[in-house]
Amino acid sequence: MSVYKKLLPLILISIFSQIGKSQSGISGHINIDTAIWTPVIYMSLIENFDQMNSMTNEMIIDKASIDSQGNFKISTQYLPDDDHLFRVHIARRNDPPATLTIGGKDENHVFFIANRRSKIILNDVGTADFLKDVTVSGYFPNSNFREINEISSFIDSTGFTSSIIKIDLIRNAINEKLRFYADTCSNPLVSLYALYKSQFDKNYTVNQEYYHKFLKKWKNEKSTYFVEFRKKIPISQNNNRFFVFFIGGAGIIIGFLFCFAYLNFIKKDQNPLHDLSVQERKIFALIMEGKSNKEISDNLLIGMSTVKSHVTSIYSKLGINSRKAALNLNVEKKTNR
Amino acid sequence: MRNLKGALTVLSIILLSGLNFVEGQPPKRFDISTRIQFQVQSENSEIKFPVFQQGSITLLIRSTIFEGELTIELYDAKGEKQANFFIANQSLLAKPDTIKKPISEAVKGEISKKFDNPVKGEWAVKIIPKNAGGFLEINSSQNSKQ
Repeated sequence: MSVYKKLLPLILISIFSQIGKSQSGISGHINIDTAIWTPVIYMSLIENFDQMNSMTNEMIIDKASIDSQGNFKISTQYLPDDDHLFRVHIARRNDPPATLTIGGKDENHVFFIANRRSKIILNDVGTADFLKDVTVSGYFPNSNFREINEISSFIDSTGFTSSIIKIDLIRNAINEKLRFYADTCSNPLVSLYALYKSQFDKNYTVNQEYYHKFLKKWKNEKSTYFVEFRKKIPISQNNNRFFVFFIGGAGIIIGFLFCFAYLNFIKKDQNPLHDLSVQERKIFALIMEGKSNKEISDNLLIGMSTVKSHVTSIYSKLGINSRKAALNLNVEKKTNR
Repeated sequence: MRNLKGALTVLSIILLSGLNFVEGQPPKRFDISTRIQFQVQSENSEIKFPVFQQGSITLLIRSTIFEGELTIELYDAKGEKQANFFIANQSLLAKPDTIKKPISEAVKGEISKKFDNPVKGEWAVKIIPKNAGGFLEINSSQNSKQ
């Protein structure tokens, strides 16, 4: 019995994990005219937001048939564990499978966020705008993703009656709202998507602090989306430049302080006789030997007035006023004749 | 290369004749239609066309390539990018571990846009090929309210 009790949690985890696996996947329903469209849906992996308008054969990672009822299902079992951006599209009968139509009533693709465990449901709501109005549900970041698209597409809906200046003002307000969205969103991929839609390339030079904070917030994000974004934001380089300037400035200040200390403290501690001239040093040495001015005059073969003048200069340079004070100076060893 | 230059010359003639026509007042309708074919083309080029205020413009740019890469960018008269696409037939993009077998065929990109209150002036379609072989079609239709 106790063995069963121990195994029960493992059995339950295994069952729920299998249920989770069986529920994950991308499924949906779209109404297409099979006379125009090939009944196949293609799924592409979009590795960074700059690739949203890109199409290559290699981006297509899977395809599924659309049955006569308009239903399809694609597995997510092989997808990465973390969130990625995907695109599903369909192609006209005369077009190659790798066809991307941007804009217009025949826009042929839908974006969504998914990972290995996601259960994504795509449903055509049956409006005239075809795939543009396919709803994506089942995984919560997609509702935020759609909200961002709605915010950024608001500008298109105001274009018809507005002046160019008004459109610019509205665009600025929308971009500000998208930046706020990016700042407050808890999902890193959606947050970054909001920033991409906000024309960040025109804003980061005037709003650097915002982008610095944004990158700091998501500093642990290593996905290709963030790697590519960091390459576009020169803030990190500016920070490095700031660091270099900071170090350089600090070096200059330290150097200045060192010179100041050297001149005011270290130099004072040096031998004071270095300030004396050669002749003065000779006279100072004779003074230290107890010679009088007359004796110094005779010794060095110079006049008395010259000796007195040198002695006055020596006193001044050494900060003393008598022979006694000179004898008290502990400079004998430092005397350099 | 010769094809591209020839097509650009033809287009320039169409545009110039259009500009002569509009001298004094904008036309009621102004259409551009061109087709460019290229083989292993790597030289960038630009197609410019006039856009009048007080009207709408519809643009259809479509390209199919069989080799190489092609970037198409649409700029308004203020130099702001209004639309773009990139297509490639031998991808230089990193492949994820999860990728399945690619489908090897032509690659097609298409922009279909309508601008109801376009910026007046000279718009441009920038064509940036890299060893691209294929063709490009540009169709523009402009209706003036005046």
